[in-house]
Amino acid sequence: MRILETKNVTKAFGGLVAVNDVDFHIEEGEIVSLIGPNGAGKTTFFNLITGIYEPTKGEIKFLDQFLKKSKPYEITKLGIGRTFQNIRLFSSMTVLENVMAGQYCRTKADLFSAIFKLPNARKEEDRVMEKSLEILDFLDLKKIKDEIAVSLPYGYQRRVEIARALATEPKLLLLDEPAAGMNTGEKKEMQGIIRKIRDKGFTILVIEHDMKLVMGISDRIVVLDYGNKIAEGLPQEIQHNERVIEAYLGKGGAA
Amino acid sequence: MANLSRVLFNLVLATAILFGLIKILSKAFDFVARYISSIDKKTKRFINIGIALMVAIWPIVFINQPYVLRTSIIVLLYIVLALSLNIVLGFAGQLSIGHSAFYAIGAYVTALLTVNFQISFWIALPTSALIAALFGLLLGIPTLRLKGDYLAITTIGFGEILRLVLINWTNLTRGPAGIPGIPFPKIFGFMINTNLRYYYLILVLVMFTIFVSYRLLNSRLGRGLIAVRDDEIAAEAMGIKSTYLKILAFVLGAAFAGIAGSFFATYIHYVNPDNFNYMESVLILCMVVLGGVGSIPGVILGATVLTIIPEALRDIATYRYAIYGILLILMMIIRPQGMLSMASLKGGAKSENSGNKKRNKGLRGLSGS
Repeated sequence: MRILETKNVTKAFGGLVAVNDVDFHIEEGEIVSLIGPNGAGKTTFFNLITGIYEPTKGEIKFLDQFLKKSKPYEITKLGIGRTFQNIRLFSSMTVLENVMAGQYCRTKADLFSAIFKLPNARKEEDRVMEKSLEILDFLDLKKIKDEIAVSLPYGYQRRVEIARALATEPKLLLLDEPAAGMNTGEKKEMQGIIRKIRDKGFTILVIEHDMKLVMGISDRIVVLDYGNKIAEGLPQEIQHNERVIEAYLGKGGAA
Repeated sequence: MANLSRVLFNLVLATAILFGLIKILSKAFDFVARYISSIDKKTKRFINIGIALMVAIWPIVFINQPYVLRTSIIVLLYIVLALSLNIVLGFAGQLSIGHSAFYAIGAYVTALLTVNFQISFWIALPTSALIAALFGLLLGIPTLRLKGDYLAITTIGFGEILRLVLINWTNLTRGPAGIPGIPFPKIFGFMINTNLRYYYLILVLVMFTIFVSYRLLNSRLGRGLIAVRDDEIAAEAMGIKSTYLKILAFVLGAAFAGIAGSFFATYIHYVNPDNFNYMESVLILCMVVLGGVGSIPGVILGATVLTIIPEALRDIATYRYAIYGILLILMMIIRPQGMLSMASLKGGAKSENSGNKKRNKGLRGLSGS
């Protein structure tokens, strides 16, 4: 089943066309990587999907629903979770609290029942705690759950961000450069984590620069350059695609 | 000229003394925070009960010293006010400098209802809270789209407009003359007419405010609010409806300020627009910032210290606001997280460096980007 589909999606900032006429889709259970040189429009594309920007033209369909003028929080509630390229953890919260905050959109206790801890709020709170601990356990973060999240080493912060995104109970998980700034060992670990998440039944869209990681995990790769989709296919196909090599290395680089 | 140099000398002296004091006290506060974060639940409860007992016995010990009692009541009143601003500034990260407007609304509603319509204080109190909350909603819906400085300016504007309305709408408020003769509250024939009784009344209100603050902070809504304060974009991406939460915090903060105002009116028996000027808002803001934005024990401490200091330093009352100014600047330089910061109470000693800078951001109102 197609979980996400975009048609002719275009985003222009004044005269600069950051994303141009991109057709894209992702099937349920797939890991798709979005790659491209710096400034190719990958993050803009992410921001279009998550509702931070509104497309200038074209449409985005998620699970039979058109995301038109949807606010970011509405899109998250529909089932798209994301992480950020430059980590955006809640700085005053512990790891556990960060993940619990991710559960916000799956709970609904109102002010009154939250303050007087009425049975429904209490039950909900227990469920949030249980679910958050389960996610932390899944990503091996349980033993650092009471640390302030931003005080952790970089690799852990990335993992906490993923945990927080998983806490929103997404159907589609968007990872924006999950391995940026990591060393080889950490990258390998991240690769394992992404696989593990997919095996749990999540659909994943990754932006990543690290080719080894991309080739290692992707079922399919989409390449953007100057906002245009220039190639799409299996990892092996992309490796040998001339336009892609040209985009990365310039003309004549193929030799 | 001689006068000016004396003033300057005094201010420099005050700066030096405050600098040293904050430096030394910072160490002490860190120690306290570390201790609080390290103790287990049982001891914590024990300490809480101890404090509650002390606060409960306090007025009985000082029953023959009306000055101490009055000051204690004012301290408790400001704790309610500071905690109400803390919901807006500390939890939601929205810099509101017009908070005394809601305080004024609460006071005037109670004054008008009890004096003109002989309505019981027990009805006037929730009505004051509701009307203040309503104004919070009306102000919040359009203004909370603004960020940081812009919001601060709008709220200052609101505070000033309200004060001018109170001065000029003489038919209703009697203008600068104020409304005298606000009666003692009565409950089932039991009159609250002594300092002791007033003390317990405001103590109940303080307890209620603390209770609501804690419960709110530890609920899903509280996590949502802190998330919005820390990083609005990330919060929205986690499915948190930030505008709704900011308005909720604003309304709740306004309601508690209204409660404080209502108490003020019945305690002083007289309200006039001068009680609710801009400096009053600044004072409340100072309490929150000084104590530790977002941290409930910190804010209580901040309110206590800033109410007692001017009492203790009656002789140099002229310098009061100059000293507040210096104090705030020094605090921002030496200890931006406040006396008892939220992070240190959580035991995040490691994060002190990384955390503080980000918290400052919230104060400057950079809630996004």
